[in-house]
Amino acid sequence: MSTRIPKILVESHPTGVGHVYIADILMIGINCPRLKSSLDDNVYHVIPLSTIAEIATVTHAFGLVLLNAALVIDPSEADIEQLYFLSDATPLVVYAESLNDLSPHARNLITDGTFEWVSGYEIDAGLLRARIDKVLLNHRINGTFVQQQEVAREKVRLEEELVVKNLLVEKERDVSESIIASVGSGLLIVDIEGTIILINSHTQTLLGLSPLGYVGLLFDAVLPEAFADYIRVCLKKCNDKESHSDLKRISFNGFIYQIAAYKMTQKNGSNRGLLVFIHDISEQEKLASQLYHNEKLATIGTMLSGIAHELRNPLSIISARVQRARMSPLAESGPIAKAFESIENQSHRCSTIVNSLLNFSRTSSSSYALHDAAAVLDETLTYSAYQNSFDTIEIIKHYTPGLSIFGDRSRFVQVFLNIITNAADAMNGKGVLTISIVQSSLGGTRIEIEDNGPGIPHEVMSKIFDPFFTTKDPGKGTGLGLAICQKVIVESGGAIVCSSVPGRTVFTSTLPTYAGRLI
Amino acid sequence: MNKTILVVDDEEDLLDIMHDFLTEEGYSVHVALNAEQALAKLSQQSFDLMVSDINMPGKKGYELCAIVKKEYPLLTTALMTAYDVRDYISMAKEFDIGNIITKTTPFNFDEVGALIATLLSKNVFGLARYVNGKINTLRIKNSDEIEAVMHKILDWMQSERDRRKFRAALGEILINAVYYGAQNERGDRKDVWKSNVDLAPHEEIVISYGCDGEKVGVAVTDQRGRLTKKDVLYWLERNTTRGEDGLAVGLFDEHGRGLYISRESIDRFIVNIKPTITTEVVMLNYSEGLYDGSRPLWIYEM
Repeated sequence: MSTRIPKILVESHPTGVGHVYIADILMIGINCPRLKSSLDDNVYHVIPLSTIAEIATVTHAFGLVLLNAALVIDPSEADIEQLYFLSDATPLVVYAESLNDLSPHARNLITDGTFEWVSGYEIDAGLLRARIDKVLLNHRINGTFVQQQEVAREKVRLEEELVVKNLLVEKERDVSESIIASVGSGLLIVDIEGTIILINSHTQTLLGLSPLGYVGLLFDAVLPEAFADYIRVCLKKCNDKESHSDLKRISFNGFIYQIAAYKMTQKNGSNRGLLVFIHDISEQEKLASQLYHNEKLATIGTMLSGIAHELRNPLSIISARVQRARMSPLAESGPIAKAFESIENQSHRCSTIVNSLLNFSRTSSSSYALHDAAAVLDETLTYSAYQNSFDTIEIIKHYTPGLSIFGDRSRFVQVFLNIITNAADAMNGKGVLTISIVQSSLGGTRIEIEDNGPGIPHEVMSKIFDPFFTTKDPGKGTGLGLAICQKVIVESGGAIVCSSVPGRTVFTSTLPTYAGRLI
Repeated sequence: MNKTILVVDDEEDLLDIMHDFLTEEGYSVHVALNAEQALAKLSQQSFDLMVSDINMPGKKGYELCAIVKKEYPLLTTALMTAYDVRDYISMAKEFDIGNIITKTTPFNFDEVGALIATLLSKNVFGLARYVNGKINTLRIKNSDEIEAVMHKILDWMQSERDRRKFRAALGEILINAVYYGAQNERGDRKDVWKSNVDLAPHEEIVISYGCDGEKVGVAVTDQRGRLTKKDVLYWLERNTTRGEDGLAVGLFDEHGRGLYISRESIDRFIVNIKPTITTEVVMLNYSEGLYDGSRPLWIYEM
């Protein structure tokens, strides 16, 4: 508020009860002793000025300006500016004998409310005091009103600002909440006292907590022991001003979790608490161990094929020796004949093993081509039809026409023949074999071979693709069949999986339709 | 006079066996433990044939062959290995080697004997050299007869395993004999080949087939002799060498793959060529499990 707002008021209570304030009045360019004495009589303190420019010399506050109309007949720019400036805070009253004396410009200023106007008549009639009182009073009331209005406006503005700020805060909270919720891992914040400040729903799902509000509780009371132990250690470390985070692997409820805690510091560097992330890494671990397992098998495979390779020379020599020795008359009968026969048979057996191993490790990709999947399976079925065990097996085909597979046809036949033979063996020659060829969502072709045999026991399921794993009697199978199947399918850029429950075992091979890796 | 053979191998045991066996077969046999010894023996007397192991300490068998080819151009040579011949195809192409005998388990004395005999006699043609049983003969004079001949032979086979193995190989070789051998069609223009093509008046494709106790054999002969050892080795090499993508470099070749696939699908794949006179492809399949494993490389170009 301007300092020029009047400290003045005239007899606010005409009854004389209230205080009487002396108002300072600037009287500019008015040479009217009658008016001055009238004002003086009415306890107004009058400061006479001759020009508008002299206002600048007045150093103390005043409450009203009385201006001679003659001064505004043709006022200078500077004067007009000064008057406008004045009128902002102080009532301005123009004194004129009659309104007609005013220039059109001054009249406009009166009509638009910049100036009040008093006439000589009002002075003559002794009405001036009442008029000035009214102006001052009005100004005061208006001033208060303006003040109140301004307060009210300020309030509205603040309220609006508050709403906007709240909206912003809300939005920010929304963003943070959705970040917290959509973080694919468990997120937890505890303060240095161990009170939970934040816990996202993922944490609750991961740890199997009921969906309650846990904020404000101590973490010990909420989290499973293994997790609580870790946080306790981390909290202690971070209170000891050790600033580091470490990861820990925790096994819990059959799943494997990775937990990481990070110290949260405030702007001023003080410790706010711990930010804890919890990931479910069971799947990753499974894949990693599978990968490790595969790599191990690959290494063993390379070693074995090297050994097998080197065994061929001595085996062929042993065999050649004994083949010739058996032709000697000494070896016609008796224990020597028996021994030679046994040596020959056993060396052949070794050779068979060596050859299957080498076939297993040998990759032949040179006869790759695009084949009609249905034709490959039908060809396979013609071979299996020659096996006696197939006589009483019903074969159902669900072939989606026009689907192809890319790779070596004879190896594919080998794979499917193997799976189909296993299925027939599993069903003990009696049952239903369902072969489906469908479009894979991965872009390739999926071949499902299903039997309704007793199923693969859970405990051997993880080993069925391992080399040398067999459930058949010794001598009946080398245990390389499914290992070869997997090798062929993987080398063809595809994947083979098996699912089994009693009464339904499905081997699903997914193969690409182009030279490349599907999976 | 007995034919003289030099056998080179770093395995004394094997030399001993080969010496005894080949001596019994009526040859005069000498042995050497390495390339140096072999070259020394060659400089002392003349031989009709040298059979050398591939993987020996010092000079390898094919390096020895290269020296021999230069210094004794008239000496017939063959290599021998217990390893997988497919690993040596590049080497064979590089050193122009057509004959690699395999040491199998059981040791295939009959085959080794037969191969050595053909090399020495230079008389390589005829299924009877490989099959000790009755040989039947069929003839093709028109390309439309291929299918019928194929079915006749496949139906004649007793075992489904033989049928399966011959199905791919036989079709391929018959088509080759008619279209490349007799008609001289271009392999990269299969789209313009015509069916129902008559062969020249005095020309025919002869197919002989037969079996003995341990194997089934089919031989296909044309009367042009257009195939060369170089071609066969080139195609085999294209299909056994892998490119950076892990696939055979010849995977997308217009032709030549059929020959490789035929060789892969059948136990023995023998090519005998008398340039401009005749090409004979002999395919043998042993009873299951017998002489499984490595297959000899047998391309004989007179």
